[in-house]
Amino acid sequence: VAVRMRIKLIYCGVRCLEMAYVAVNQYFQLVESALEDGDGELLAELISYRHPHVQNEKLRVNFESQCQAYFQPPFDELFAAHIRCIIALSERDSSNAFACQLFVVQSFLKAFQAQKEENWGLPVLAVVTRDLRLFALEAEKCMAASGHKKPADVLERAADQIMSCFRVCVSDNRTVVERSKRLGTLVLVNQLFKIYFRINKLHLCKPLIRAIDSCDNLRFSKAQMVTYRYFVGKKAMFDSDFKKAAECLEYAFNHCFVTSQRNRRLILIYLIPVKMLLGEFPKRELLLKHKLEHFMDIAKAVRKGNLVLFSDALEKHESFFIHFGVFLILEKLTIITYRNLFRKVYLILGTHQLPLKAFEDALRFMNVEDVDIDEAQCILAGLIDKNYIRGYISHQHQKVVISKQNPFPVVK
Amino acid sequence: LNYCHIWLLMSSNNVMPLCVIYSITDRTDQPWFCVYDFVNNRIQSLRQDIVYQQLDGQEALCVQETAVRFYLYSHYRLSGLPWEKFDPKLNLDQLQQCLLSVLRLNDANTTNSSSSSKCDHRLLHDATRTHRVCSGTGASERKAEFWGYYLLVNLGSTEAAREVLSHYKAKRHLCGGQLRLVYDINKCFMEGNVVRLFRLTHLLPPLSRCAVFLHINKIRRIALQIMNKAYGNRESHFPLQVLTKWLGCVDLTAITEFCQACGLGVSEGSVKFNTRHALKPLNSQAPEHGQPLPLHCAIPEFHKTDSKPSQILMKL
Repeated sequence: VAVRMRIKLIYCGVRCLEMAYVAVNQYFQLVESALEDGDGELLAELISYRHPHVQNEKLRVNFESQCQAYFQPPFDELFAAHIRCIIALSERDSSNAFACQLFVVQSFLKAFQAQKEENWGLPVLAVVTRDLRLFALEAEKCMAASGHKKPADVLERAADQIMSCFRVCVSDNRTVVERSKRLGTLVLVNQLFKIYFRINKLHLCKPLIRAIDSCDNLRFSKAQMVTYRYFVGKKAMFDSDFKKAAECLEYAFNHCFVTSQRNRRLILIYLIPVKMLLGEFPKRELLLKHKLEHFMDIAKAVRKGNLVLFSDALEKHESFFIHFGVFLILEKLTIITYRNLFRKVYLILGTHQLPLKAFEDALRFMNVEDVDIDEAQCILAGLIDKNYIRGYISHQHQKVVISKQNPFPVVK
Repeated sequence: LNYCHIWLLMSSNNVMPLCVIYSITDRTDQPWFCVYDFVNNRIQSLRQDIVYQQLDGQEALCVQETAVRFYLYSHYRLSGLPWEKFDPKLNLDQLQQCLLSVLRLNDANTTNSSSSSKCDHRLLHDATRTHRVCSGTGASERKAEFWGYYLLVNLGSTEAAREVLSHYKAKRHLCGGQLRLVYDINKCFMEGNVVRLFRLTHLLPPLSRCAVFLHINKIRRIALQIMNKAYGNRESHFPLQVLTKWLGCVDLTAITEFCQACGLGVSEGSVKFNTRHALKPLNSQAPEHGQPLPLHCAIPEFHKTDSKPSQILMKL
């Protein structure tokens, strides 16, 4: 025990970069002590590829026999695979790195599953699955670049493995909450979300969302909740459930760490279109602060009912919007733009019985190609159907009769 | 040669050259659902051969493209027949499978530009060359054609629209006018703008119009629902003549039948809209008692075409 304490103190005293140069024995001894003490946080650090031991070239010599000397199965094979992975990374062989990491996760899961009524391994599980996903992403990019036919397979394999880990965690429902493996489910679900969004299989998210929603009594970290709500909100947006999307994305934005500028911007890219569809427009200062000027002209055009400006703004930044998958959502704002344009027609004419010709003229003025009175009626009918206008159309008199009270209800 | 002779001639290789498929579709001595059964059978055999031989190059693409065009045309030609003669759901399932194969093969063939032919069926190999010569279009136009079918077959699906956009990266890159037109039709459907939807549909080539026809009843019903609310104050009357034009119907009889099937009253050349009365749901399932599917309404210009089926399928 004294020796282990001394080693830990030495570790705390040694600056991070020095870990790249210390003797190999010290690394293995640290791992051994972490395993014996059930120190999940330390072990997670030591197995992460962001830790400086990865740069230590001395680790790559005779590691197999050293692993067997220090560790009991399955950790001997696990760490041997971990070091093989480090070697593969140094050789920039992403496919091999992925294969080794897959073995690391499989081995760790065996040990983790065997630990009854304990969950100290959760930080390790989070790190090894994160690294598995990152290596899978890298391998997929290399395969796609070299013309491999099925690059997405590697991500699906990673997802299958992480799903196995998820099943082990979610089925641990007889242990007390503090020691339950279920506390690790959200981290794994977030990893799976990232893969499913990447391979465009959003329907696979549904059972995971159901599983997390049923974990009422579990307290997850705020960071993981922010990630979770971000993905759930994004999915809701793609499913056209804009109220739910707004709720989740707003939570994610309000609780996201203030200095995570990249993450806050990413959340806003989805939150802004959703809020606009619900009738709320972003402030100019917010857009400037997060470098989202792309939405400025869109918001202005929709508010003013200016179809010309709206289509120009969409076209100007279409690559950006398509890349983030919000182009189609923004196109849905066309209807609200029509609503605002027609409201202007009403305000200009100042009467509750408006000739259909006036709407046709307004659309022509806005350069809508080949529009005629039939199409103007059709668009008006659509707005009445969606309750953006309260009134009715009289085809016989070629007029639209709008309500004297609140003819253009607020868009919600 | 009659129907049986052709079967015997080809059954030894179990392969039907694609050019023969095209010429069989022009036959008028048999009811067309018999032609459909025969050709469908042959296409299934070809698709099985593709799986057994693990083909993923031009030959496989050729077969799947032909199959997509055939199923699209067949749906238009045969819907309205009793279920035991033509099952539209089965046809649609096969269409979807072939369409996804085409898109997948196009993707794979883009990344592997030199795919060596593994085909050991001479007839299949020869037919591929015939197919390409007859189709007379370049690779990028053909890919756009089939992305167009994908979007139309899945009309209203934001996921399909998103896939098209992320494939082309920008709306302005939507190859040729046709895919852009299809994209706009999808947008009109999502906005409920049926007037523009049908106006744009008339600009499409025949096979693409067949793809729109897959959803014709859904489009018309949505339109009537919107109009029932917008025009339905105090039981207003809307002229059937105008409705025929707006909903792309052939004639007054067709639109009258459709309105009545939706539970709307029709009299003296007008349809009665009423916001208090909801529309009846349309029964689009296979009929239980062998009755023909109702509401077979053709799109006018297509109905007037003089082209033979083979010309439509080969896009001549």
